[in-house]
Order: sequence, then C-alpha cells, then structure tokens
Amino acid sequence: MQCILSALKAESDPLINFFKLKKDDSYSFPFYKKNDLCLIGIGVGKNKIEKRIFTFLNDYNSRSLQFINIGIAGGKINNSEKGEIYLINKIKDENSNENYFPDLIVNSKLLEHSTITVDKAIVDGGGDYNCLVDMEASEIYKVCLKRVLVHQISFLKIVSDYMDEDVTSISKNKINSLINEKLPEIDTFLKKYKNLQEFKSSILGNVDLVWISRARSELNLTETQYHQLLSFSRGYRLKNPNKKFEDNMILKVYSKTERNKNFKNICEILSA
Amino acid sequence: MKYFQPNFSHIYVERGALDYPLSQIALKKFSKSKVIEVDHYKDIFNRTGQDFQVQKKSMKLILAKKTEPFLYPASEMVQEFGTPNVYYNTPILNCLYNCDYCFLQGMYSSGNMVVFVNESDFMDAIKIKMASLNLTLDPMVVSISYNTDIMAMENIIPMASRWIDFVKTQKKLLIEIRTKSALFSLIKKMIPHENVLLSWTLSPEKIAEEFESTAPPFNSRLKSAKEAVEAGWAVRLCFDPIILFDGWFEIYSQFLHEVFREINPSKVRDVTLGVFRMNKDFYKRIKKREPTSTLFYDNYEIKDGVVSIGKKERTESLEKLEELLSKYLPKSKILIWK
Repeated sequence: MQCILSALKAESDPLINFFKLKKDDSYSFPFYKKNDLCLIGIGVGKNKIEKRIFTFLNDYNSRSLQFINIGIAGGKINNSEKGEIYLINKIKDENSNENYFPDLIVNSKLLEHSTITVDKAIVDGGGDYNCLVDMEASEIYKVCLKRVLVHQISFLKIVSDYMDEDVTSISKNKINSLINEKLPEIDTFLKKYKNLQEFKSSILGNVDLVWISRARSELNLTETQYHQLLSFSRGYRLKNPNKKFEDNMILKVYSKTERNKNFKNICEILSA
Repeated sequence: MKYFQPNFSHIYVERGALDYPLSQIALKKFSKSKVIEVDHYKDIFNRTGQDFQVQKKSMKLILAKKTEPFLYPASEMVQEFGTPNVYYNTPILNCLYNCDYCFLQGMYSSGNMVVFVNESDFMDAIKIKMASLNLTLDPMVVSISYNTDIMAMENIIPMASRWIDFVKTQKKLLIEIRTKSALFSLIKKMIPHENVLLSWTLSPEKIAEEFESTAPPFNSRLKSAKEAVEAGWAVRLCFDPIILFDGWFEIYSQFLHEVFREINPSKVRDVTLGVFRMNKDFYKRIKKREPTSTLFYDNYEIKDGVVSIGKKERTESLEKLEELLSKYLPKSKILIWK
C-alpha cells in the first residue's frame, strides 16, 4: 500500500482525479482509496497529522506500507524554480532545530532540495532561508517513523511561490495547475518507489502462514514454541522454495508431553 | 529499469570534516554525487528506523571526524593466538561488501558507510599507546580493517596505502589489513614492508557465490593474494568462516588444493581457520529482521555470548581441516578459532 499525504484540498484534487481514487466516508477526515493507493488529507500545519495517520494505521497496517507527502512549498528565487518538483533530502524542524534525513534509495531522477518546516507561513520573501519552506514535513517524518521505517517515507514538494504569498491565499486553480503539471513525475516516482516494497516481502507465503497458524492452535504451542516454529519454517521455505508444509506433520495430541514430542519432530523435519 | 540510486549517490559531510584531504579525495571522486551537510555523522548513521539491507541496495557515504576512542582492544572472536598488545581501530564503519554471515549487519543499524577523515588522530593514538606498552619482545598489532574492508575502498579513498606509509615510520607496529578485495594492483607499486600483514579471506567458489555474492569472486581474490605473495608481502590466508554443509569436506579439500596450487604455501605467513560465529546480540538483531540467508536458520549453540556451531561438530570439522592443511603448511602456521 502507498499512502499519499497532502495538506490542501487543492493539492489532493488533482491526485484524486489522476489516480481515480474514491472517497471513503468511514473516516472523519478526507480519505480516498483505490486498490493499493490511498490519500489522506492531513490539513495545513502539524496539528492533525498524528491523529489522522494513526487512525488510518489502525485499519491499514502492513510491513510494506509507504507514505509519500506531496504538496506545495515556498522556495527562493536563487535556489529553486516555481513549478518545479523536488525530492526532499533533508528536513529541519524550525521549532526544535532537529534535522531529519529521508532515505534516498530509489533512482527517481527528480531534483532534490532540503526543506525547513515552519509553524507559520512565511510571506516576507523568506529572508535567510536557503532551502524550501513547508509546514508539515518534519511532523510527518516524526509521526510516520513511529510505525514504519525511514525508507518508507518520502517527500515531494512543488515550489508554488517565493515566500511572498500566504499559502492559504494561493488560488485553488494555481495549486491545481502546479500539481497537474507534475503528475507524470509523481506517477513515475510512485511506480519506482513501489519496487522497494518487494524487498520487505515476507519469506513465508499465505499458505505457509495458514499451516503455521493451524499448528499453533491444534498443538496449543507456547509463545516460545510458536516463534521457534516461525524461524524453522522460514529456514525451510528458503531451503525448499517449492515444497509445501505437509498437513500430516501436525498430529492430534492429548497432552503437553505429546505436544512437545510432535513439536520437536516438526522442528527436526523443517531443519533437516 | 534501474530501480536504485548508485552507491554513494549522496555524500553526507560533517561540517568539521569537509576540509580534510580524505574528504576532498572522496568528493572529487564522486563529483556528481549530491552533497548534504550534517552536524554529526550519527544524525544520519544512527537514525532510528533504518533497514540495513534496504540501504545496502544504495549505500551512501558519510564523511566524518572521529573523536576518541581511536583504538580498541581486539575482540575475543578475532584470532589473537596468544599475541599480546592486539588492538583494532575503525577508520571506516561498514563495508562495501555485504556478506551473509557478516556481523556488521547486527552491529550497525545502518547499511551506509562512514569514513573518518581525521586519519592523523588515529595514527597519533597508536603512537601514544605504543609509548605506554612494553614492546621489547612483541610488536603492537593493530587490525585496521576490522569493521570494514579498507582495501576494497582503496580506489575510492586510498587509506590502506596511507596506513602502510605510516607503519613504515613505526618500528614496533604491525598492522593487519584483512580483505576480500581484488585490488592489490592499487598498492602493487609500494615496497613491501614486513610490518604490514595483508590477509585475504578466501572461500570456495560455491560459498563465495552463495554467501559472499557482493564480494569479488574466489579466483579474483586468489589472484590478488598470489600477486601479493609473489611481490614479497607478508600474507595471511583466512579460511574463515568455514561453512559446513553436506559435502563440505570434499569442496574444501578441492578448494585448498586450488589455493596452494596457485600460492606457494611456504611463502604464506600463516593461515586462519574458523567456523561461522557471531556475538549473540548481533545474531538476535539480525534474526529479528527476518534475514533471507539460510545461514541464519541453522542449528547453533550459544556459549559465552557467542552463537556458533556446536562445540563437538566445530572441533571435529576444524581438526579435519587442520589435518588437511598440514599437508601444505606446518601446524604452527595454522591458527584456529575453536
């Protein structure tokens, strides 16, 4: 699953249309979905990010989940171009002075920039800021990192202004058009980024997991035995990619002694 | 379609490390890389939530300035063989290669590489330590390639050659440079020095292909080691870790035959033998990440904080190999981790 996080409706709309996402009204915040792509409207600023992401994670928690923050940011005339899309390589939180570094594994070919996350929109031309300026990135990084790994969080920012306009006063049409212009790049990035998910696919397939679950419940395995079984099963699957876990390995047992004997036997078969 | 950025597509540089010569060499070598300034290398290397193996798909280079300590007593898992005054240092953290059995994946949370560019601080620390030791009989031994493969980096950052130059100025210092690289050619022009021990880890082709797939193949390593021996360097051959599997003895017998057909055993300083072993905490950390190498799903025993093959099987296997090796070298030259 890939989950786009965007702050403004004007940012979300072009993405929803392009990816043909459907609204899911079961959430109290904007949530759209189609197959394994979804979008959460996180609102402007840091306030609602944690609650919305965690609510989403209650329903969609997978080890290959990827979060992609897509939105507009302020730039400087001497270091960025209006309308250009940048992959963010460093995030500084202006409040805490903490720096965050997203992993840059995917060969995206996008230009890169750093960003500083501020609490209030900068409208005075940006003064000493020599990077992009946004209002959500550091919070998104912090919140998502509580539940996924660094390489599962990415940030794409499109420069909308040179910090001479309040973000809320930039017209909806202008934002729509900025995002629309960069949809091909966004689409390519998402496709390339998705490839990273393959590297976290589980060694055990669904059929294997059903067998393990059956062994656990029918043999009434202890927690330690269950984890040992998982480990032996992974080793078995790696060494025997095409062999199935035989149902007849799991016997009917009537005592802990019988259970332990059968468990030991299974482990020996799996580790042979 | 190339999914991943090339290695070192990004170079993170500590503010205080930028002006060091080694930083300049690296930045020149990777002039197209994106340079990102960091306050401290740990801000990037020690981040929470990193995936070692994913990062290995596109390693980043971190240039930093190390602070003390610059020297550590050798681990018990290194063959010290009764030699006193054995230490290691860490001019580089992490390795260009990614061998399945490597403890680094359990030691570090990051797959990226840190190069400490203040090499003179490392060298000064050795000089200070040497002054405090009684070195009348034995030299001080320092492994400079313990947490990395420094020779594998030689065409990126020429640290091995700089360390060899340093050793030449110190009478009572021996350095060991352990490697799987095939880059001996890069130091070939240097005059061999008796206080530099070049150690090649060699494994049968079958093992190299399965468990050391990112390192140079067996033949390339063997060629490099042979060139070093013939050029007059002190060379150690490390048959470590020995991986036990069905038919292992036949494979290793053939392998040793090939090795000593190419390299005159009488010209080898010594050889080391050891089976797969790992600090238990590192092992557990790796297991938690659901590794895809079959090595981590074999039956091991844990003793004194070390995960390894059971003592009986281990001793029997190593004794068999010792016997085999003794056809080529005197037993005094066979150093074993038992």
